[in-house]
Amino acid sequence: MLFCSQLFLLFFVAVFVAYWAMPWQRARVWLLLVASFYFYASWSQWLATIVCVSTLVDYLAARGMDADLSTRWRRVLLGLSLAMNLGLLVYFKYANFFLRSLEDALTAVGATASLPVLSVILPIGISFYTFEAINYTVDVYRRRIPAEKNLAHFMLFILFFPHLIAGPIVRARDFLPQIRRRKRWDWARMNLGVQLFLLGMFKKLAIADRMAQFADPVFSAPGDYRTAVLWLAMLAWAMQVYCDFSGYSDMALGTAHLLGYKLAKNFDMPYLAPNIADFWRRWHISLSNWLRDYLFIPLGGSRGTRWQTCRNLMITMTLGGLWHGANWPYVAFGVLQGLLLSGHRAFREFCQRRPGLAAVLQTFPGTALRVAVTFTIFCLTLVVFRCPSLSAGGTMLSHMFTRHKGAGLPLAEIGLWLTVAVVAAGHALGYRGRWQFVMERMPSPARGFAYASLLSLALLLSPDASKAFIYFQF
Amino acid sequence: MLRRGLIHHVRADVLWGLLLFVALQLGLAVAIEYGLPRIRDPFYAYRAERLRRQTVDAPRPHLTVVMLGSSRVRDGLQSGDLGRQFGAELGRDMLLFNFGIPQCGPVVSLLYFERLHAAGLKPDLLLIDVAPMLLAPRSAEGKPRAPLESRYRQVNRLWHRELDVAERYGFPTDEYQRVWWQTTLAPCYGLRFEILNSLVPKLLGGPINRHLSQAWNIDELGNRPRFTAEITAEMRRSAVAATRGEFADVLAHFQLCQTACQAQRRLLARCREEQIPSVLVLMPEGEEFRSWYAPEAMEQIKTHLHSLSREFTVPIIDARCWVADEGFADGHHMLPNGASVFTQRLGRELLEPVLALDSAQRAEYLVSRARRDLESIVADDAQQERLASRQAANDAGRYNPQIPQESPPLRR
Repeated sequence: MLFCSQLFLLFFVAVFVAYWAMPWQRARVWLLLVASFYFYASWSQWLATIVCVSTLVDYLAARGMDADLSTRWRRVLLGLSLAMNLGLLVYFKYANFFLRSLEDALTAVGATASLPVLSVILPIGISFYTFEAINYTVDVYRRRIPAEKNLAHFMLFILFFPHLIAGPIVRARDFLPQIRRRKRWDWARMNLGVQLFLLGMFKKLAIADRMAQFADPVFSAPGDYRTAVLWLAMLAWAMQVYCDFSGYSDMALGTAHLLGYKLAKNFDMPYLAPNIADFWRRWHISLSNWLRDYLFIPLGGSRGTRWQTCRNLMITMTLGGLWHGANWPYVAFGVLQGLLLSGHRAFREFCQRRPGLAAVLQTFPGTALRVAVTFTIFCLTLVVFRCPSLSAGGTMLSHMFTRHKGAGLPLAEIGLWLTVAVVAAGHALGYRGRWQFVMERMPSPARGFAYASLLSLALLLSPDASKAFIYFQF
Repeated sequence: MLRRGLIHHVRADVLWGLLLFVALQLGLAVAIEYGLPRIRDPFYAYRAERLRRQTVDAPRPHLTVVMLGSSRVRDGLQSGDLGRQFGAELGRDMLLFNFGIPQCGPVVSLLYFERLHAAGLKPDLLLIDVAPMLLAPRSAEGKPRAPLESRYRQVNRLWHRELDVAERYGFPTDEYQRVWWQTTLAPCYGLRFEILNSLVPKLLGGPINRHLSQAWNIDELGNRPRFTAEITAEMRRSAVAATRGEFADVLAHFQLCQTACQAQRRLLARCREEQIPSVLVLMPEGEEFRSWYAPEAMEQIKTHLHSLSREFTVPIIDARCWVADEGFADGHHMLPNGASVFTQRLGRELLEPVLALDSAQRAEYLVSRARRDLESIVADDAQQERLASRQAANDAGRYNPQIPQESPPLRR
């Protein structure tokens, strides 16, 4: 069930009322666990069972690692847990991709091959909860956190429905202590939860789903549209993917707050980033941090030579691209991000040797230029990400940089520019907490009116059929 | 103290937010129900506004004719051409208004009539589209009392006071009440397309925009713009196949839906009460479409229409064969060339004689025409019976097989 569906509203209201009605913390944990299982099982009961079984294996492996065992046995248990988690991920998500790619490669070299096509259903959210399980077992192995003794607590950490399907990727050391703490009703937290949920709903329904109406027809047949329209579709797609994903994250954070839990912020206005490195500190923060802590740093991080750092960046970002899905455009997207990050490092070193240039770039016009360039370059990589194949992405990019005739936008352009204006205004309000400054000085009825208007607008502007969240497919 | 104040403010924020949201929805719901017909039923409202402009707000023409019906009327009537033509020829101005609205069957036609009457919009002549398939019930869906038009009708187009009427004529109330209340209690979601269509139509996307723009994208006589895109043979085949999928089965196993028939009766009774002369019109249909009717289907339909004609003394115009197949997009919705043929013939056969008469004589003319048609039908039936009995006797060998068979005269 989607966060902005009637079914979820009914489900959440029931869980919310029951949760705060019961005074016992243990009962609340079990309620959330049952509700989370039901939430996931509404997609597939069989896959919900697989998640539970894999969670149980991780729990047992971590308990084993926490016992007084030799390093060798602890490593074996970690390996077992990683093999199971990554094995499930590879099987469900990448098996057919690898088989297809192998078949294409063999065909390209003249060999005939007919490899089997596995009939698998991708478990929704597998990329997210797998990474959460990995961060837990690795942290236990590194003795950063003790193994969780309470099975219900651990299962809730993995299955907690606000973040189960599309993140944020939660760290065990941040979440498990929250489960143990007794929750008290807190109006300020409720208010924050409502604000975040409404904001997320507005981003998803009024912006993301609306921008999809511009982007989808153009990306499905880019050859039919003229150059200017391709650029506008790219802009629409950039708005869509940001508002879709950050909207989901906001709704997840809001829902968690309403239940007394705090999840880490996952987006920090990435389109205002002045360079690509800062961008990745603001976009899908939980994934970026995970890749940094569990891939980039173990590979050596930036501690080695320039070449080693670039290599580590390329590996990390390529795998980060592959994480999104079993498709070459995602891999290409990751490669491009790695190249951009490496290029940024080189440019930063170049600027450090030229203080005059560095000073100019730090001025307001310089910063504006850097933000614009970063945004444009990221949007161009998003074109590769969005297209169904590398050749389609290449075709679209070539049409964007050459004069290409074709049809106009599928919808009236005013809708696109109004939405861009709304997103820009939202960024202006959100920059350095301006909106909080404004909100704190408004009387309660005005703030209440703002909430009512936000919800009404989100509902008013929602399109015909709400699309599933983009990151559900990852 | 500070924390208590903060808690108070925060609680007040949430409660104000809830209160204002609910107030906004209720306010909007009341406004839509009592004062914003363009949002409740844009297809009806825009046409009613234009009709009002032509009849109440402007000098009333010599003859005001409203054709009330479904999308067949919307596509098939080119009212502007005829009005101008007759005005020039006869020196008498005629307003022929196209009130064709998609999914408008007998029940909704009755509702629209009542709305027009309540708004003081009274035509001199009402042409009522009879779409035979909309006289069938939804038996296949386990709703034998519900007319087929209830499958297509969007319940949020009805005012609350009309739900009882719709229920009386077989619309599935439980389903309708639930959907109606859901859309009305949260109108910013349930009626969002209609609200945006009314305020900022350009914000609507694709199919929704194309559908709702048909409500306001009409001329002053209710006609939609004529589309000039070419219909290829392949497109026509595909469209006919879609129509076949939708209606062929209904027509092959046709039964009259009693509630739909009652709604038609009620509409004609209301016309008689309000002294509005009316005419029943069977709109043109393509040859393949006509072939989908089972023989007993047409018999049922004709028997029913003849009984209405007899009871209310209203003429029936059977225009089903007036337009060749090339005049249709999908077997029953006319293209501009087909609409031109239909409209011209309707004008010659019905409207021209009526326009030539004064208001006092019109009703009499239509009554006498209805009686004449009925007499001719009775005579045809009698002749058919004679022929049938002769044939039967002939088969039994009691009559000279050389007696020539008389062919029945063409019915209008």
